[in-house]
Amino acid sequence: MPYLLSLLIFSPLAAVLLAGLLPSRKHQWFRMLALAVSIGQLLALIALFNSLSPNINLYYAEQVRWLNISLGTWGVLQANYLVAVDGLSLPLVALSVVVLLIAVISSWHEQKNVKGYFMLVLTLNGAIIGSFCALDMLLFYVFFEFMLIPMYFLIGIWGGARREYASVKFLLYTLFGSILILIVFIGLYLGVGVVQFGQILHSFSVLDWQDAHHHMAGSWLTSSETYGGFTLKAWAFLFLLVGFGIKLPTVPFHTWLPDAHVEASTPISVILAALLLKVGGYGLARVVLPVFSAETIQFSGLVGGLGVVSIVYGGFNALASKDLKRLIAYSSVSHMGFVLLGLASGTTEGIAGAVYQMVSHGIITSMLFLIAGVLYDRTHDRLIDNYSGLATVMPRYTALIMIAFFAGMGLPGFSGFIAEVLVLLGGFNPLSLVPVWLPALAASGLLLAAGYFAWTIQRMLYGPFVTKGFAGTLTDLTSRERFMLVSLAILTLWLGILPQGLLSLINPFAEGLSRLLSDHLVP
Amino acid sequence: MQEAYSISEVKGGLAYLLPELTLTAGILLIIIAGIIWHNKSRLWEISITLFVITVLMAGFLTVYAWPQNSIRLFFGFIQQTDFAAYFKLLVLTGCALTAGMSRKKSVEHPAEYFTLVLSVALGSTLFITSNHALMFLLSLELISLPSYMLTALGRGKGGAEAGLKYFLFGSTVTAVMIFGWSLLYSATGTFDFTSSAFIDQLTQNAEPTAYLASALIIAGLLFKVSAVPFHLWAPDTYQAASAAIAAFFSTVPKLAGLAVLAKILLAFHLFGQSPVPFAAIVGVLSMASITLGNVGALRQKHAKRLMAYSSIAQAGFLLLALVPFDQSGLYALQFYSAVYLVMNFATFYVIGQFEHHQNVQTVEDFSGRAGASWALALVITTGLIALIGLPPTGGFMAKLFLFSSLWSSTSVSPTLRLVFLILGLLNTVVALFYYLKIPYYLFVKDRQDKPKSLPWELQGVLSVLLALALLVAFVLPGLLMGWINKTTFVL
Repeated sequence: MPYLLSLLIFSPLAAVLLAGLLPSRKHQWFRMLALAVSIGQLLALIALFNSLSPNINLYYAEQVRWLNISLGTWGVLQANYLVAVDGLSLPLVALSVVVLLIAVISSWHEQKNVKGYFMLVLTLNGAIIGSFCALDMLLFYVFFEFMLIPMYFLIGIWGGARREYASVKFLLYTLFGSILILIVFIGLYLGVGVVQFGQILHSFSVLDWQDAHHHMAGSWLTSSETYGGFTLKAWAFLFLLVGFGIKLPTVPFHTWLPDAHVEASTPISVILAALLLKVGGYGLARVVLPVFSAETIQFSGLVGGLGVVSIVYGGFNALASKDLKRLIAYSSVSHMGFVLLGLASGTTEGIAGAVYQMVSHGIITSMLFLIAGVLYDRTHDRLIDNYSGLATVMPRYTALIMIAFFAGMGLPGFSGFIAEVLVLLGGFNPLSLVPVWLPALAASGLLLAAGYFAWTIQRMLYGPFVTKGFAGTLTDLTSRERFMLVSLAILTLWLGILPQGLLSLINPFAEGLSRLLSDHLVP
Repeated sequence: MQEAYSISEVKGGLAYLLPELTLTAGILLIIIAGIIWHNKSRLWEISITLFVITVLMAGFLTVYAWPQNSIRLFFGFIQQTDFAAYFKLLVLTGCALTAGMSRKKSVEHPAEYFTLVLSVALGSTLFITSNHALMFLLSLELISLPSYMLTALGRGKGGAEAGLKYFLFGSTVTAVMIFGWSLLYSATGTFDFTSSAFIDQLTQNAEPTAYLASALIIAGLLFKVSAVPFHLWAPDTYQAASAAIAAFFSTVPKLAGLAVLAKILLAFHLFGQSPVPFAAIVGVLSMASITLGNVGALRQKHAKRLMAYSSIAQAGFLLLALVPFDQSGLYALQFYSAVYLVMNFATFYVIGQFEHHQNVQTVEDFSGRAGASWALALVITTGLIALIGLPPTGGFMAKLFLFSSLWSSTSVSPTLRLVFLILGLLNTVVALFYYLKIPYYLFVKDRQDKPKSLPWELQGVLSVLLALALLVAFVLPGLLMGWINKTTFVL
């Protein structure tokens, strides 16, 4: 199956075209189409995992010439349709397929302009998977930008009361970040030259970028001139850190996230938190660390520090949140801090932990947003204080909340535990690039998570059941909701109890990246 | 620069002037038609047919007589190059698209209308190829005078006011340019601004008056391309004119002015020997255009006025392509110009249809009208996304080529280059804010009643084709860029 990745990327986009031709009053057709695409992707994913051969780094590589344009005297611009998966992207692709399937199921009862909704979700689907698979960074950037506009409309049209504000804020923040990324990408492809057939090819392939032999002599990549105290490479590193940091998001670029999450509808929040945030972490691990290794080492304290600030600050904000969705949004900020810390440590454990955390957080946060959605669907109220004693009327729901919250706290047995422990191990490792007090502080984040989740359990689930005008509406989970939550719960437990499968997939990548970083360490 | 006067040279030159001669014939035929027929409906049909045939023929002849190398005609008055031919083709495409947008109901005097549009087209083609100050000024006036009339023609009191404003600005600018040329003539002794005599004189006997003169001439051209600080006429003019004429003004004279500006700047630049840092000056002007255009657009409520500010900002991006002063910058300019033509027309086509059928004027009037025509709503979204410069549109590729050529250039200091690059790209974020206003109102804002559907007509088909062209320019930019790469710029 050589074209498996293209199939994954383009089947939803083909479905968009098909959906465009169908009559818009046939709501059921669009739901079935989106579901069929997602199930098809799941089957393709299983086929993909079944035929993985060990001992290679890149799986399912496909390359087709896209652009080959002479731009005057200084060479040839070359961009390819180059897709492949490795230990970093394959787990994220798998996560995307699962989460998008859940999101489609969760959107089943969407009534407003169903045709447009599912066309946008399918576009988003292709763009997300495409950006995880692309190794040519122009292609990556195209998919990356392609996610913005559908998401803008999905928040802006199908969102809550302040959806207009939230969607514009989301768009402006993300676009600002993506412009910073584009500046560096343009610089990189101009600074990297591969000599081939007597011509200088300016390539967008990240595989060429990370090979220092291709960095052209005399270009900014090899110059040591400083501007404002930093070399251009250092500036480029900082630009990318901000660009991907907005997406991740890390404090202080996180303020778009609570608004976007609170206003977006449940399935869109799930996609946003579980997948779109991961693109930030993915970009750091895919481009920033390998290409700017020396700068990563130079700024590892800053990166790790931002991670720890995110963990602690996000945790305190979650503790103070009155709105359940806002609490979950801030818990995301806190959890994504571990990704930054793990990457900054530069050790195999830390990097593997960061990737593991991205997958784990994707699953757990999907559960959390679905849980908030269950309540919101019934009562249109998300204020934690307005609920109490839910355990007495919604026992099944209570059980699943417990699982999700315990997973979010990082208790042993759940995927979050493995990820966070790996990150902390990486941070404490004597070879770690970050000072030892950073992971020590981060560990306090675990305490905060336990605090806000346990306190929410106590406030919402325990105590006497008090009706605030929505007594009869609080019915227990429907079978659709149960299916989604239980399957996600099984996944987080599976990854928590049997981490070896996923870890062995991630490990070659983490080791390779860690080795690349240690090569740049000055002894 | 003495050349022997010979009738045979004039005769030989005419063969290279076939597109321009066709346009002239078309103008005359439409004037005659206007004398013969008085029934408006009949006259409309006849003049638009003549117009389209003329433009298509001129386009065909431009391709047919594609100059392989640079040819100087009529004692250096005109220089046919493939760079000029490329821009001539863009101008003619713009005219054809304007005809497609024009409507019988909103054009009161068809013969006059099409005569004037064709005159601007003729002026533009001559302007692009002009090589001599006299030709330059004559063809410039051939663009300007019909433009003033087009603004006012049949547009009532507002149109007359805008036309007069445009006229006052424009004639002042012309006077200023004539003054500039006269100063240059006294400094160099020649009007042929690409001749070696001109360049040698400027290089060797550089006087302050020569710099003043070049500033005056560049100012006039900036007025034509509506770049800061000579942009003030654009918003009023666009708002008063019909959508078709606004689209026409924002593309045809602008692109013609740009092609000439490229040539004049390279002449003044004296192959890098000029003590005036032209690259930095153009860069600063371009940044000012982009920023002021974008900031101005933020507060606009009227759709065409918003597009006027957008065209000021886009003029800034087009100017940015002139900063590198090298071949790759000009390639980026050519690519950007073509994409700009298409994306601007795609947007204006949809604005024009909503304006005509549903009297949509302000951005808020677009509220919830996506249901009126999903196809058109998608077209305008594509056009605006392209103007922002986002994938998957040709606008992204155009900006990519533009910033690549800027980054790899050496005409300005690395710091300045970096500042231009970052400022230019950051402006995209501001641009996003106002460009997405129209799609935002179309899709996101609700309205009480269901909007009436727009009828399917030729305009609709053309706008879908334009949007598709933008997508193709993204997926296969090599089609256009490969062709552009074959052209060479000769001074």
